[in-house]
Amino acid sequence: MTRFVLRRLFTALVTLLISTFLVCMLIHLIPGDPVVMMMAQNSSPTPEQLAAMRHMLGLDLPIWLQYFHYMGRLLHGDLGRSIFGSDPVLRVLLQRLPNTFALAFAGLVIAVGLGLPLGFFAAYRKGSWLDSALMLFAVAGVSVPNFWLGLMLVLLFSTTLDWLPVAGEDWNSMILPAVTLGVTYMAIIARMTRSAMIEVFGEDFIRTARAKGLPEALVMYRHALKPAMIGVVTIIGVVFGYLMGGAVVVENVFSWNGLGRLAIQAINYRDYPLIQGFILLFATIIVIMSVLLDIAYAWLDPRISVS
Amino acid sequence: MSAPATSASLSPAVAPTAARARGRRIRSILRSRSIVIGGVVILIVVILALCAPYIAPFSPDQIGAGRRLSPPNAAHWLGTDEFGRDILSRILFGARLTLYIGIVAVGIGLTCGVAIGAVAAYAGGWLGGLLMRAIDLLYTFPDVLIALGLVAFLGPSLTNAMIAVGISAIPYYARVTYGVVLAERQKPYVDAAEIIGAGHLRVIVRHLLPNVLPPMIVVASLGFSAAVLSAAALSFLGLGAQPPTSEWGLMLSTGRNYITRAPWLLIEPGLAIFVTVMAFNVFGDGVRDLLDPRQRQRTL
Repeated sequence: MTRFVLRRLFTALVTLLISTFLVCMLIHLIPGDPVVMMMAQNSSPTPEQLAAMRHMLGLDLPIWLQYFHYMGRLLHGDLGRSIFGSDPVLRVLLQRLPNTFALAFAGLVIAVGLGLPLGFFAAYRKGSWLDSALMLFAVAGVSVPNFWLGLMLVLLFSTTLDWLPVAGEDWNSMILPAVTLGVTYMAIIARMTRSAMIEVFGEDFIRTARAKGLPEALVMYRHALKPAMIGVVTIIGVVFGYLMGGAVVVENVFSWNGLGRLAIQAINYRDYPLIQGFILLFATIIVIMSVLLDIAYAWLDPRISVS
Repeated sequence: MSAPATSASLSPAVAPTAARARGRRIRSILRSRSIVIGGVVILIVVILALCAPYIAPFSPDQIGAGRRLSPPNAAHWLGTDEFGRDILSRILFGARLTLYIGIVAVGIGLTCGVAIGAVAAYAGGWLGGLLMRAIDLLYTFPDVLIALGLVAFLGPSLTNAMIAVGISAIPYYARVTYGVVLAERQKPYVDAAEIIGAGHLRVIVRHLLPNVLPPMIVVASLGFSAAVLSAAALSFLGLGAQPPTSEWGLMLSTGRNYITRAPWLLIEPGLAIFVTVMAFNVFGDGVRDLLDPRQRQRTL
């Protein structure tokens, strides 16, 4: 198990290194001179200002040195300064991170809290009208654009019924964005749980447990749920990454003050250091998530760490 | 497992003629409610999109075609927007754009993904390992995020959004292709082709790739809906189509400002995205069930 964890940590580190390289090179995708593009927000910059900015970003170095320059600063926790507002990028990002985490977590609670039971019941009553209805609902959940769903919820609950606020920072302003985010991923979790459960229900040990005369609830709880959980844990981990991605869009519908809203503002201001920092932070979170997930996975199913 | 999906898959001992086999296949396709319903809706969207210039009552960009922000009425079935443009016409032309975006994005993702997946599976060794590691790495990132990152640096425009959405889907296609080609590569016919002197490219293109086609129909159909959703999201965020394009995501984004005065501006384009995306998802699910009854999900 220890060896498995160490090996997994090593690959995670390599992944992060590759991500830093890609993020550093992103700046060369910009059509034209990145420094001119960045300074375009100011009134006409002088050649000296342009040169100073180029030097600060390390863009006056040869390409292969740029990466070392970038990494050197990164290892000191320096992600550069935001062009707009000139605050350190890391601080700006960390200020917003808790908001995005809170939203994604609330979305996850809704997605798992509803998706798991729905998928379970659909599998348990496979082929019934309930199953068909739940699965139709699940396809609808995957197909609905989350930004539109958010707008529809605002239209219904804020503008028409006046029950919930459109935007804000307190807990009840989090309900609509969390539901918006949760519904899409609830559909995915319900579908996956259903297939996992159907597979488990067909296993011999379930038939054996039933043949022994165990009460149905015990068969479900003790025998069916644990093997199905392995598949479900994987899904939940993947879904959390996607929830964070979905949050980027949903935050902009509800003016939720998280990373996603910051990212869109940064893109509009061509604040490239901030965008780079945003992508790198996301990559780090997703890599850490996937490591934790693999460890949870190996813990649930000891066969994994052996192979 | 569950009951067999099609009686055709359990063919009788008598060897059926080609015509009968084809008839049976068509019947089993028609019996799949998902394929029929999804397919019919897709067909309607395609026909509306193709006929948009002939059936749209107004030009999509005609300012002042009606009174500003008038609700649905006899002259403007879906109402008008803040410039008095006819929404029905804009949605019809938006359908063309949506299909175009989907085709281009899927085309980019599919071409690159299939090439990478096939080469990785066929070559194996360190090259295959390296390619698939890179693909797995990209696969862990939400595709919206990859697309967002690319558009941020390429600059916001519809073309860049399509490219970014296409690139963000490469891992998805590469993984499916990799799986199929890896399984096929073990089979004797590949050895046979190599023995009679077929080159690597020929083996991949002529012998291995045809086997990737059936699963690709499923993947491309589901990928199409994902691409349409991502591109609409980018346009909604102001990073894709730019005004005055009649793109559905963009229409929603401008409609937000009139949420109390003209809610139809918000309802209609979103419904168009929803119905189109759902049709492709249902269709893709149906084809998957048909090809692989074991993974049957039963959506409709």
